[in-house]
Amino acid sequence: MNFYLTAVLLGLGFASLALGIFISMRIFNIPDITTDGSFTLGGAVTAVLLSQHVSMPVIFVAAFLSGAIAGAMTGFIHTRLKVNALLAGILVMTALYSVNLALMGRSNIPLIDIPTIFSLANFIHGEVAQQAFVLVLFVLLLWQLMGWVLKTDFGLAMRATGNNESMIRALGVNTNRMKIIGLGLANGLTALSGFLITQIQGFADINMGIGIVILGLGSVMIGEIFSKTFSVKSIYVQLIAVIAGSVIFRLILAFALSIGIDPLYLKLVVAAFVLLVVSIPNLKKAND
Amino acid sequence: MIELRHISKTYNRSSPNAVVALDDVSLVIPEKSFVVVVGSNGSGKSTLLNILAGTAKPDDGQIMINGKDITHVSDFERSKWIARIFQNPMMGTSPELSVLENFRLASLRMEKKKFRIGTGEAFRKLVKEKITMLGLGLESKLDQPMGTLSGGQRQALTLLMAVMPVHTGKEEAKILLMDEPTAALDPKTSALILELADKIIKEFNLTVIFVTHQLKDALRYGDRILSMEGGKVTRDLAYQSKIKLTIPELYGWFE
Repeated sequence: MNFYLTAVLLGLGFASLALGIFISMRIFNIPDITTDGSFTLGGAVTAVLLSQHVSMPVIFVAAFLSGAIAGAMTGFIHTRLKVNALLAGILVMTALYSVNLALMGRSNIPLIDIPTIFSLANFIHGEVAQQAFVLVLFVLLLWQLMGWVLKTDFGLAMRATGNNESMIRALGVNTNRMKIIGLGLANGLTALSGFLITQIQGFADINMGIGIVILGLGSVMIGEIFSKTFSVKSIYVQLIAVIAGSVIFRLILAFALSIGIDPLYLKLVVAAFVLLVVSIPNLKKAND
Repeated sequence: MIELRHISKTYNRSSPNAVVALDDVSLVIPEKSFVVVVGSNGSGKSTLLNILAGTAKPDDGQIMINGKDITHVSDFERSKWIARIFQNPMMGTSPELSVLENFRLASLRMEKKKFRIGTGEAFRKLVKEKITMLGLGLESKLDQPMGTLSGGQRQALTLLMAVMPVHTGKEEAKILLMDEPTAALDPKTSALILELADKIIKEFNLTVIFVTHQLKDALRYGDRILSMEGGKVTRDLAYQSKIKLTIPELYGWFE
């Protein structure tokens, strides 16, 4: 049972990344690979600052900003230098590998006997309970904040940018600037996942972000299947579906491991599962 | 007032496929005029609109609005003065946003989009009132995604959206560019959309440039008609001469 509880907690930790991918992929229609780098960046910043005993709010803001800057750079390369979005992301991700290594000074920083964000809930007994409390609270706040932002005038302009660029330009929005801000926000959220996961697992590792973008994509697609099936219009419900998608994804991985699939093949399972999720709607259509 | 001074535009300039879209065009369009533009494909009509809207940059020449040089003002900044109705009814609205949210963005055409919720009760009431006047029964669909509506319905709403800033107290934007707004619609819907456009144009005293291939519409609407050919304005008739035009005569312009 504890095994599945851990999976749920990881799913909540990755919810922020899933929401980041929701912004870049669903709202802006940009396949953003910066994610792999900005996730590790968030983790690296967190581990380095935690071992320097910097205060938690500062670490939180620093982690978000580091990812946001990385995302904004991808946005800048894509919109101002007119580089294909996928390539722009790959370039920044590649560069970030060196940046992360330089930041960390070595390939792995363990956080032994260092208070984490979960220590803030030390009025609750038990490590898992503390994690659960902080993660649920964090995800709820993030959900409310994102839902609100996407309903503001700015958020509407953001959604229209990915939806119909010529229309929103004719309505006075600088879409290049909007994409830079959007990718910044998306990767800021991704870095916050790195911030949380580093503290859940108790270390930051230079390779922790490799292939992580697939987690976000999978979560968004699971959420999308739900939103499409029930023709959800509310942006709040769409967001909670993505968050649920992140948790479901983790549970399925846990299930795969529990039935004895060799961890060696875990990424293969992930890829096969995401392929399945992506193709279900198309298979249905083909049958119609 | 809109003024074009010696505007030239060539696409693929340095290649053998160079296409002259506009060739030294100068034009003065006073406030509140309703100018119809006709011409065969490739005559430069659409480029003329794109140059005005800022989505194409002229190689030469100057564009002035109300005496201000806007030649180097980018397209999204020109939304302060200019509203557009596109040929494709899908281009003027955002399909995944609701009708109400589309109207909210349209009402902010001349302003910054800030971090505040603007789709509250007061705004909903205003939009509902305006949409009810269309008589298309769309007022019950404010919360539906725009993409679920038909092309005609979306084009009608796009027209209303063009004058939304006026309803929320903004006065400056008075120019409406329409590039074959009914080309994708059936004849009945097409007539309905143009009647609506005419009504809105008169009510709000808009300055209009209307590009069309429908000669009947070219005669029925507007108070001035231009014909274009090979990137030049070849005919320019004011109201008195325009009302005497007949379809055969107009048809002859294309021979």
